[in-house]
Amino acid sequence: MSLWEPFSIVAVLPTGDRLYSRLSSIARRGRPPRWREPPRAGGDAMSAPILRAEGITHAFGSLVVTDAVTLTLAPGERHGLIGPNGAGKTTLFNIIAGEIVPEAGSVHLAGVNVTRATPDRRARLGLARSFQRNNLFTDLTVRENLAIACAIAHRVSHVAWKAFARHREVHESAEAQAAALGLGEVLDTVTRHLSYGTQRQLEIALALALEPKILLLDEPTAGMSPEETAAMQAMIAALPATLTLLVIEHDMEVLFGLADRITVLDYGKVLLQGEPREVRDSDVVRSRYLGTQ
Amino acid sequence: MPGRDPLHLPAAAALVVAAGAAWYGGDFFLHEVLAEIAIFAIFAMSLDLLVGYAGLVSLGHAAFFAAGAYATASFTVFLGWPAPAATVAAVGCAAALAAVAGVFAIRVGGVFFIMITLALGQMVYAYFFKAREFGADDGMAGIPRPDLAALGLDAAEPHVFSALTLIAAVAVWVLLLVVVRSPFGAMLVAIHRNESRVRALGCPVQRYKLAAFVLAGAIGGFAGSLIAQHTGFVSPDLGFWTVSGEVLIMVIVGGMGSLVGAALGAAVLVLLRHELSDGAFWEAIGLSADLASYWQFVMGLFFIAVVLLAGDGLYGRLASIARRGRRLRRRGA
Repeated sequence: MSLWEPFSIVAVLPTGDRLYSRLSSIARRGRPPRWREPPRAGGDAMSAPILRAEGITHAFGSLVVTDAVTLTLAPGERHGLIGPNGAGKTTLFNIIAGEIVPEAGSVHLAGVNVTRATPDRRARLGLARSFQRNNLFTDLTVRENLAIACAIAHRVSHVAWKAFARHREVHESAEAQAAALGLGEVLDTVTRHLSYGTQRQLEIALALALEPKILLLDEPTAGMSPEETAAMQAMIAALPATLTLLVIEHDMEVLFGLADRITVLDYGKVLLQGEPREVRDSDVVRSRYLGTQ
Repeated sequence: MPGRDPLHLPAAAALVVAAGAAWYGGDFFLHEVLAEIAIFAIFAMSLDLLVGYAGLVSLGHAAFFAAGAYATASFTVFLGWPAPAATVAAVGCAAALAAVAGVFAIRVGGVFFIMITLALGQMVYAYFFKAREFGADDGMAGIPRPDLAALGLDAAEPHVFSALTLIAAVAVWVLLLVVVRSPFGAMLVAIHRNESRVRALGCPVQRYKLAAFVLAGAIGGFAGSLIAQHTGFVSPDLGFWTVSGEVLIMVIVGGMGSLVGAALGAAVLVLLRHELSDGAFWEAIGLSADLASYWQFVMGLFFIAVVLLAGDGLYGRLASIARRGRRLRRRGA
């Protein structure tokens, strides 16, 4: 939290967000912006990576879980992340999402250095995620879950003087989101009463409600029946082509059908990066990972 | 989610009608008690915003109560300000204290938040206990009530001041109801239920918690300002941790996460405190007046009974009975 943060209280006042950002910019005047990088010479906005994780190293005690991992995602790319258990996939995921600050390396999101930024700031910059274990508001309905996400996406979550029920645009957006992802029939069902597969769908729907630029999916089909896996596969395949995806998945059939590129991690290091065909044909990957399936 | 409790408005109306009836038919003593209930209802509702909605269990809320009371005493006694201006300034002081304390307190959760707020409360208590300029442990006296001569009223009269405090309690309830039913209130509830998910959705959780902490502190300061005017006297005891504990018990007994429940809890506990500590009450029910000396023991039994028999508080129990009744009626139809 910066020294300026106590004054963020104004953000919950009418037009407070604007006032807060104005006050913050006055306070920072004369200093270089905190997160923005200088534009790179010859940089092309279209080809510039949307996500660049460089030299990510992190250890838990003496156990190095990610060791100088570099990962670059172009806009619209569908990138798979595979590796045996303990390879460091989820740690890398959590570092990219902002849950863990790496000991070395940097994370850039659309040209902005977010290495030390909080998860909520990364989300506001366009990075959304699903969790390995469903992480929902289990005693609220599907409609209420989505309305919370949509209120944040519509930038009305700080409004303290107008009833939530009267923010029609938020509720309409929540309904549209539910309908688009096949959750229309369970809108008023309390989340904990949904099947596991439907809860996984809602998990992704919450992330998509933010209209992100990048979506991180942590084992989206884990624990699902074959029918639920097929539905999830179809749902992911139907996501907009402009959306960049980074997916951890153990089901190779799902991943090979989905990813443009795959990174294979092993003991915290990058074993191979390439197209699905290269990964499938790699003897090293087959012996270290696929062969053990 | 706040706003889907159909019992809230009828229960609030019933409470207001009961308070109005008691005020209309009340004597000097009852008006004094009503003013105390209204002030503690304001205090309890402000804590309920933190505990019941944002999930921040504070054991230092009396710090803002004391800050509001001492600020009112200082502005009126030292500077000669009229009571209403002193109240506005006192609310500002309590909010400022909450903003500074909140920056540190909201960085942690659970038992650590309880410990930090407890330490804050005790620091405020210790400061006023030693500060000679504020009368140290003797406190300060001579705090005036608002001058209502222009309206032909005298706020020194208990029936006038109790009416003022009841109106203030209703106004605070309306204000907090608007807040908890807004998107901001929904975010507080969402943060309470699943903070990591709200953060992953892009909500600056710390900022929201700080805002709730400041709002609760400001309203706690308002209650403190009113108690200073009610008794005409302030002492360090207003900031002691047992006051924070007492208001927390009011919220738990009444029902967390329902503003009406907090007000109901305040009414029940203030009434019980007055009745159980009065020998005449025990004689009236055929027992020895000496039992009045053991009123805190009986209060303890009552608290245990409420927690065991109505874990979600008196209002929570009423709401669940009403829900069950509606379900049965629907099935019957």
